[in-house]
Amino acid sequence: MSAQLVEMPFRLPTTGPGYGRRVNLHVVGDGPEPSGPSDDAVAAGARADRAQEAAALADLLHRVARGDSDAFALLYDATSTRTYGVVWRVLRSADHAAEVTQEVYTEVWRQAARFEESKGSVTAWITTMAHRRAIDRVRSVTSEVARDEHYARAEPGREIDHVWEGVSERLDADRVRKGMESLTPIQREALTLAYFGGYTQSQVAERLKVPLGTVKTRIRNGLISLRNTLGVES
Amino acid sequence: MNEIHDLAAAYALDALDPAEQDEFELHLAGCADCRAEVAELSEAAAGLVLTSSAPPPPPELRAAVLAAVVGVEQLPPTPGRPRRALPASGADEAEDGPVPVAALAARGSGADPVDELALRRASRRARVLSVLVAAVSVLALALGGVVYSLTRQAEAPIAGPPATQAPQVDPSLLAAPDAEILPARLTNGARVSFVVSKSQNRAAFVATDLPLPGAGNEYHLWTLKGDTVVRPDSTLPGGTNQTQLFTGPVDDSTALAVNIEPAGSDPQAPTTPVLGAVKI
Repeated sequence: MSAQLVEMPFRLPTTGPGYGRRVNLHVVGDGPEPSGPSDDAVAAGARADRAQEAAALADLLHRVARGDSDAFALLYDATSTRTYGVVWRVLRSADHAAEVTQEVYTEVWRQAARFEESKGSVTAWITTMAHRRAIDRVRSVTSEVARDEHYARAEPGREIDHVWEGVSERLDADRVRKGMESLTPIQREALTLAYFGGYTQSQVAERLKVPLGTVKTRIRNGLISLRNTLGVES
Repeated sequence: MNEIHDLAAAYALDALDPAEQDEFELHLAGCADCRAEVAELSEAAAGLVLTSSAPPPPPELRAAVLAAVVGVEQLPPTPGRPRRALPASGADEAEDGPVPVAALAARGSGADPVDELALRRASRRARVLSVLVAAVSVLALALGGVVYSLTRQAEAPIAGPPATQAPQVDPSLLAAPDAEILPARLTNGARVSFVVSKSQNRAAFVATDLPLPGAGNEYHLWTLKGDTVVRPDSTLPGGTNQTQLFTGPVDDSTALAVNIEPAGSDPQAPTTPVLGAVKI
């Protein structure tokens, strides 16, 4: 049966563009990739991309705060790779990571109205929440010994490059990588142990057999140096 | 150098020992500089994952995440004042902003304890929000009806967060990796939703308040390909809390639509204008 609809005040969809479709935010408005630009131009472009993405994400989150489930789905699509990545990296278990990621997004939904754009990016807001929960989970379910083995097993040959989809994410990844390379090995190790291993500063000090004060300084200087590399604006 | 200020980096990495963390959070509540620094360092920490390899999220997680928030109440914005420091971990956290909220609280507000703009923004949002929360609750009730009518087909329910008391939408339909809730506004003003899973080849129509279609009439649902009818589907009477499963398949269609027809009639194409439709 292929009868035409009689009368056609019939527009699809009636709810406006974008509904019900997955949109990759990372490709929106990236524009053509510059060919052979100076580092400054790349950095400026990356900053512009970041600003644009940040604004798009903040806009989505504001819609989520008004109960918009479509915006929530789009927000998930735009951020879940990084969120799940952080959680998985800490927990090293697909089951735990899926559970914690689901908890995180439920909190994102609940607390969306409490996000304030002027106080930081959506990415950092969600990632920080995800990291905190993953750390809580790893500290509550894993004995330190188990974690040691886990960490030791997981580390060698780890740098299979993840394919980050967004142009600015890729640029950021390069910059973080460069920033990490510019750290001393022990700064790098202290940061990695703390962030992905879930170790506290004193546990890091024990593992690395260096005084706690030294670890504190290394972690602090390491992260500040990374912040400067990434050009986080205040 | 004041030592407590130096804890910002470790705090941003969640690497403080519990006692230190409590101490630092107390300090944070009163130190705008540290809040600003934690905010910046948290941005940097969030970049760390970009240097690491991790698998992408499993595809089925998406539907589980979307289903888990259906009916979950949203918190009102917090007023623009320094937030209380949070417990180190655990169950209380859900009731309060997580650390990032506290951590990110200060940037831009300087030492000024009352951010008037934020307060105004917050109260405006609260007003909009209360209306929307009401609307969402009503929708959740209606979706509860879907669960009810589909109970027999329901399989293992999605593990929702413990705080959820609201009704869950039919788990087996919504748990499909491709399940979507597609809202539409009908030309008669009614707000309705279509819940669609192409992989399960099922769809449902949901409306909290569907105006009565007039004596001797009823609502008819249609599956369409483009603007061409694939087949007529279920009918429903209109009224409050209407939920209706599509009886036919949906995987051969590109759109779902609803209109009004004489009760008991069985037209093979709409005889009155379509009131609303969604692309699937």
